[in-house]
Amino acid sequence: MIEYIIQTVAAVIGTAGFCLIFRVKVKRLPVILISAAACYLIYIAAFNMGASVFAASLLSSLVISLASELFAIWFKAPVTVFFISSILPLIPGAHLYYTMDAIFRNDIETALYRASLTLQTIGGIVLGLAIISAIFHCIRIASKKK
Amino acid sequence: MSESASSVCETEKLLGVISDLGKQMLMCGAEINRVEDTITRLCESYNLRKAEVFSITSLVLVSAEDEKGRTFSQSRRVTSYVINLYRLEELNALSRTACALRPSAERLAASLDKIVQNSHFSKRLRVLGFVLSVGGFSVFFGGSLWDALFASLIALAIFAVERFCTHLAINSLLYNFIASFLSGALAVLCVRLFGHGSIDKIIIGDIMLFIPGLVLTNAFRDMVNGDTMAGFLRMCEAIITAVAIALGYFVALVVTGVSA
Repeated sequence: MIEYIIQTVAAVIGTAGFCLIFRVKVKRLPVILISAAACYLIYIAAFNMGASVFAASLLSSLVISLASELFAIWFKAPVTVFFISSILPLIPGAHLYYTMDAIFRNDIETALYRASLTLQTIGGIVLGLAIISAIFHCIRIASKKK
Repeated sequence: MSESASSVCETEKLLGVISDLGKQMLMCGAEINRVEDTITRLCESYNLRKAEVFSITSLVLVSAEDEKGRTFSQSRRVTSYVINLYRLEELNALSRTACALRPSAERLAASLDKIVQNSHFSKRLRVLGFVLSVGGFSVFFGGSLWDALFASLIALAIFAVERFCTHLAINSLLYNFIASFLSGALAVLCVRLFGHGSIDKIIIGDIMLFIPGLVLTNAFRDMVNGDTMAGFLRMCEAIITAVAIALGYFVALVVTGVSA
């Protein structure tokens, strides 16, 4: 339990750091940091309930994309601003590193395993984003036609 | 100048500013979708017909017709991009206002310049960002506080390398190689010198600064949005960057005698 708290805090600090690097407006920070924490918590909750890496990433991405779209409407800012920052805990930095490490140690089995984890995570993120974007795109078109 | 000639000038200038705005958006990390959509909407608001926009991460092509059917086209080349979400927000707001109020080309250009000038990075905040993100993610991926500490110190070194490379206009691939080599070597040094921490976790923390995880995600995102070419190009960029980083670390580990 304490592990999860430490990881969540670490994720939030890491995300805050990247928000500084990406020059996010300060007033966006509270919302983004809460989303980043939620992103990690949803992922780990789904994963612990037996979901695969892909499914857990997908679920987390769906929720974060939805939140980002709603924040974008509420704060009148581009969705990218909220989505890129909040999805950071999910981005497969470690998996990518381990993939490269395994390739150089000639451990092809691990390399393929890690590479698959990397692609599963990215696939989940992108699919979640695609679904929500498509839904909101349709909503926007429909509301214009009225 | 006759009315016709001056309106041609004005339209040319207008399309030029609109293209500049698109270029600036690309340069601060906007998705292809957003850039093309923004330019198209601006052209429509200003009554420029048949607006055709094409964009990949390194190029914007715009062509449009005025009411008299004369065609204008502009192209802009983008050689690098740095994610600057503040500037992106401001550019987005500017394009919304411009679509509604339709200012003259000169006023639009002036507003654009103002945004670009006022949205530079503060060095201090960026350094703090480097330290926090590296420390945070080092722990997030399972590192101890020692790993976070070493990773943060190395992040300062990476920041110095970044400034050095930007100053000498060194291309990003070489920068990635140099930075990952340096951070790999320093990681081994720290662990050997102080006897704490694990090389793996330190490197993972530092690698978050230039790992193309975000670029790869954006690549797939562009593809899903229908910009298959742009997405594919971005994906190639991500893969090549990953290889450069991997080589940097590999050489560092070999040189310091960690790997065979």
